[in-house]
Amino acid sequence: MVRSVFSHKDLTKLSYEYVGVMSHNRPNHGEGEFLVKGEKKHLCNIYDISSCESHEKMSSALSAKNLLKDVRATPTHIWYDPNTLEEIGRANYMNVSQIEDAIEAAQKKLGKPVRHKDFSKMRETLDDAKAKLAEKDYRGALRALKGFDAKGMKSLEAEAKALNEEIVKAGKSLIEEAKKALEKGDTKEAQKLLREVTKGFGGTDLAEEATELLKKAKEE
Amino acid sequence: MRILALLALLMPLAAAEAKPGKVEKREPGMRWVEDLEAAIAEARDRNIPLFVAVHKDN
Repeated sequence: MVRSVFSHKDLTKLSYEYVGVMSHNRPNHGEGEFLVKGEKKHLCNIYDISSCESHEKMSSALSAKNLLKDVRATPTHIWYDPNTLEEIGRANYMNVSQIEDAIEAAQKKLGKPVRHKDFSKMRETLDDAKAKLAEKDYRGALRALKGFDAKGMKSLEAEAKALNEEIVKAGKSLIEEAKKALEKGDTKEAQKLLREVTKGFGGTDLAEEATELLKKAKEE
Repeated sequence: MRILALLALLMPLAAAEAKPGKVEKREPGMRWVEDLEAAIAEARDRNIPLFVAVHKDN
């Protein structure tokens, strides 16, 4: 397969300075199988950085937000203010130097950016906490989120908050199950559940509550 | 050279059909975000432009 310009090293480097999305309104270019960083992927035969399904879905999503107004000639490149989704500029058939200039001008208008490297670190922290929560490693998830500072990035902040809430919810649910087990007289099951809370939620109110209930369970 | 190499940015070279059953190794290439909402959220968080490349068949 002949490689497209999408894998060019200068473009690859530049693509971390903005958030790029690619759309094409047809899902039927055919796909090839590729090994990208050890992962098998089916990618479009024409736009070989995306699956056909993916670029077609993006086209629909952009249209639904009315972000593809008056696009006639293609390829068309449009860059938007991320906050207002107002168009900052557009051009056809841009080369990398023109893209660099466009991004630089847009960035001047927007102000100081957060580098991809810094953003990725935070993203990784949240993904790590999410994975640990899925494995029911509550201690690991809480540890990953401890001291997490989203530095004003609202979506990451909201995600961290939601994750924390989900972890607490899981702990509360374990305690509720333990209480039910105690009511049924199943002390063994209650102790198992409560130990899970004391181990996974150490240093929190939930762990304290579980410790108190464990004492009761031992007395019974 | 960079300009010459990329005059047709995002207008991919004519790509030959991939041979069925053949798995080709490749580098990740340009970074794209596949989910629009995630792309907008990241652009807002990082205070950087959302860059849309549009191709279409009329």
